[in-house]
Amino acid sequence: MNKENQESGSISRRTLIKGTGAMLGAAAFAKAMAPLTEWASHQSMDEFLQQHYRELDEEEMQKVLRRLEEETRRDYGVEVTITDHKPEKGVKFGYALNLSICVGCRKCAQACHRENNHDRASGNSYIQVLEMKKGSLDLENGTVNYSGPVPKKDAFYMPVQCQQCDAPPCVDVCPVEATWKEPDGIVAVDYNWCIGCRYCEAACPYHARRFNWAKPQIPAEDINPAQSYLSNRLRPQGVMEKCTYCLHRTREGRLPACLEACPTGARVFGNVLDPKSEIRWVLENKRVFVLKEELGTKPSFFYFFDE
Amino acid sequence: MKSTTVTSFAALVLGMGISGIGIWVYWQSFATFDEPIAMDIKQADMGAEPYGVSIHGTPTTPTVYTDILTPNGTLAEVACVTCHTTREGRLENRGTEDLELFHQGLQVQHGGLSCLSCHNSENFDTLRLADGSPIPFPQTMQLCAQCHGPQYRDYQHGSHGGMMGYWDLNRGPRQRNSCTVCHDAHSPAYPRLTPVFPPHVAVSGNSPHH
Repeated sequence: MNKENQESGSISRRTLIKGTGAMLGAAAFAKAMAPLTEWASHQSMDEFLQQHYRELDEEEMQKVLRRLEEETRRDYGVEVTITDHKPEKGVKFGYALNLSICVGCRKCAQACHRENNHDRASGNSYIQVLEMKKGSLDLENGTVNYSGPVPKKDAFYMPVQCQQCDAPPCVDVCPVEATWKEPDGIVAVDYNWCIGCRYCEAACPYHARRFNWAKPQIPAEDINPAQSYLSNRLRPQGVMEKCTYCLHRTREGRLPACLEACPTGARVFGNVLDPKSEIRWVLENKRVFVLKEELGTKPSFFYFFDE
Repeated sequence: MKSTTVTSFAALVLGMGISGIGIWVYWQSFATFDEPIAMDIKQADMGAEPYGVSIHGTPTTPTVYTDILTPNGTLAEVACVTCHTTREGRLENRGTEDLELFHQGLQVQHGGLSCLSCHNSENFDTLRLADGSPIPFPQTMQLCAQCHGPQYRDYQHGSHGGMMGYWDLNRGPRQRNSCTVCHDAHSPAYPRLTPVFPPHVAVSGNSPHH
């Protein structure tokens, strides 16, 4: 009986199992690869093959910038200029915030939202303003959900953004070195190298990092066209982003957008290596402190109260 | 003989030295009077950087509108001194209830100051410092600084009052505000505000109502 079946070419049990297994395997493989085919439809080969920011030479960088400008034109219908602003020798940025003057108006957070081309619907900003009870510096007792009029009698207001740490835990945990410390103190992110694992978001003790859950949606007329590769260019979906002290402005010598928006002048920005700078005067003459000093993150962002 | 020459020479040198110091001290005493009073803000007198700091909103000499029509149909605008040269300033005025004419409705909440603490009764187109010397309206900041020293010091060092422009004055200018842009001279407390841009998501997860 067996012999007859084999001779007639009918399928044996073994062959059937093999065949089924192979088919299941192929189906599983196809399923696993499916996101790759979808992804390929909107990501160009150039983008896929792009090197890490710090490995790009000048010519390659220019190509990348033109490609990104072209993609912005295609996706958002707006002409933008993307520059690669480099850190300067002899400059280390420092930021200080006078908590006695901050009134909690949140204009800094709004300016950040506009300047840095944040997704409009989610109301993203690199700055959170905490309303804190007077007498306590415990951030866990602060709230971002407060309403006016401000300032309230028993409260003070503490804007928190990336502290540009000199020992940044977010950089330590990145598995692909997509985030690093620049010589002028900025903790930068290469949005095209980030894999979106969000380890850095978890590692940051200041809740300063944001994840792009979706591709940012902004009306063409609201897009800030003065952009930089490491800062406010439109981010892809699925990558991390953070405050860069507006490096597209500050590396040109200008003040950050949050500082210009502050109506009371609570914010002081400058080059800490310049002994004549205003930030140096604050560091030398005010009793400044850093947030969560005990964690050893060595922030470049300082807070102080007037006497 | 020889020792006398040496002694007289030493005495001469010593005398020249002492008179030299005397002349130096004498000149220094004048130098302190010649120095301008440095009221400009820090960067402005550094002079090293190619760009400067400009102050926006500096007050000008005020005027008031009368109910008299000019030939071109606008209300006539007159200087304070138009009336005040013929009327006595009232030193005892402290509150707005005593005010008449153009000053009615003025809100004053500025410590225990009287009008003439800052306004100059000798010439109402100027203000006066605490020592009685007149000061033009565009230099109001100097007047504020008399009592608000720490604020003025902080302002000079960029940690009080908003600014725009460049942190690096080698690359561009910076604009600052005059005191009176944010603080009404008659009622200087900074007004309370309605915060803009409410957060959509409580990122820090510590909001009380969740």
